[in-house]
Amino acid sequence: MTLDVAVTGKVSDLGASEFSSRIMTNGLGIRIGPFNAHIRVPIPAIQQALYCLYSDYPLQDLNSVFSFHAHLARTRKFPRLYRPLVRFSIDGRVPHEDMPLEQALPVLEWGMNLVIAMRSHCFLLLHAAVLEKRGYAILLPAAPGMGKTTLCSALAHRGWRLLSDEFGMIRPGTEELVPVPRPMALKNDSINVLRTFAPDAVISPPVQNTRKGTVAHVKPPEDSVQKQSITARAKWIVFPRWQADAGLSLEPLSRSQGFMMLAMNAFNYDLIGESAFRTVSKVVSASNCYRLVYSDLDEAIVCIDQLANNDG
Amino acid sequence: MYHRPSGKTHLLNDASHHLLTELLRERKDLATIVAEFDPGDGSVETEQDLQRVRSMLFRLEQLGLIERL
Repeated sequence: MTLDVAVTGKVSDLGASEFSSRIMTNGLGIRIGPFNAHIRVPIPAIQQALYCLYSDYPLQDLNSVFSFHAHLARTRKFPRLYRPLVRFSIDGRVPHEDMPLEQALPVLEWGMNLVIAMRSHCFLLLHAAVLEKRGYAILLPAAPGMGKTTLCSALAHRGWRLLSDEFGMIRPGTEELVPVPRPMALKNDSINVLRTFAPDAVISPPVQNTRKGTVAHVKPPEDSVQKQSITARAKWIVFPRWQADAGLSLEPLSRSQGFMMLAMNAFNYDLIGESAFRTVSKVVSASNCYRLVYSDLDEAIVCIDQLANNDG
Repeated sequence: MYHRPSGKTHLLNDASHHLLTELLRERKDLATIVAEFDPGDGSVETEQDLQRVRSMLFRLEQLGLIERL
């Protein structure tokens, strides 16, 4: 299924200088999956990283109707007494406390994820990475710290199309996963793991001492952004868990187990109610469910590729 | 199963599923339910089986899935 998207070129068409000039003043309109985002960031220090991460995204005219207006600005309160801070706001509202200036990029990315999670209730939002191969989607639902984003980033650099590293977005009543490809936040040791695994991956400079430790963002592959209007049908649900020194294991799960684990991983299952129940039922009925334990990324990728090849 | 009044989702085991399906079909008392669980070899109807069914019914009642009349 293809969603209608109006585009007017992409970010890289502007060049770094024009990008910076626009995003620091009137802001930029960017299409991210089904969302029109208006982003204004008058913070010079992160312009280069932003340009790099967003260079493939389609631009939206500033007269568009936007899904949200994200603004990240330096705060000016007591500049001599405290460390410089940044304030994230969304449509003029400030959802959380100001954060250290040096964490500006993660604050912006977390803020935009927060907006999607809190507002997009026309979708069932599963907490899962989603990738696609040959038209079928694999869902990787997991709690934080299970290696979901690392595995997702690795697959995205081994021939799988990234739909999202965070949101399994489904229109209720369907089993179609809607792409929302965003920069993928790697944490701590996983940054070097991915650097080694995929030397061609474009990764933003690491930011240390955030509430999640050291964080760096991986640019979504260009192909994933270009195809962000193409949905994919659920076929595999794999609950990953990275465990140091563990041998690889892929264990089939019953659909009942898969259902409960998937529903418990959703951001808005209770809010959507019966329609969410029916949607998860549909997705699970159309999929095979597994639990994957791994310590070696290469082994995990081979295992998932084999699953897709044998079960395709 | 999805319970509309509470908006809760419940994962049922086979026995609870069977019990609930039967009770949704028609109201029944404990003795009837236990008798229906009897595979016919006389292995049911011990006090332990009665207790097991009673606690399943109590749990379903707690969850608001059935009502005691």
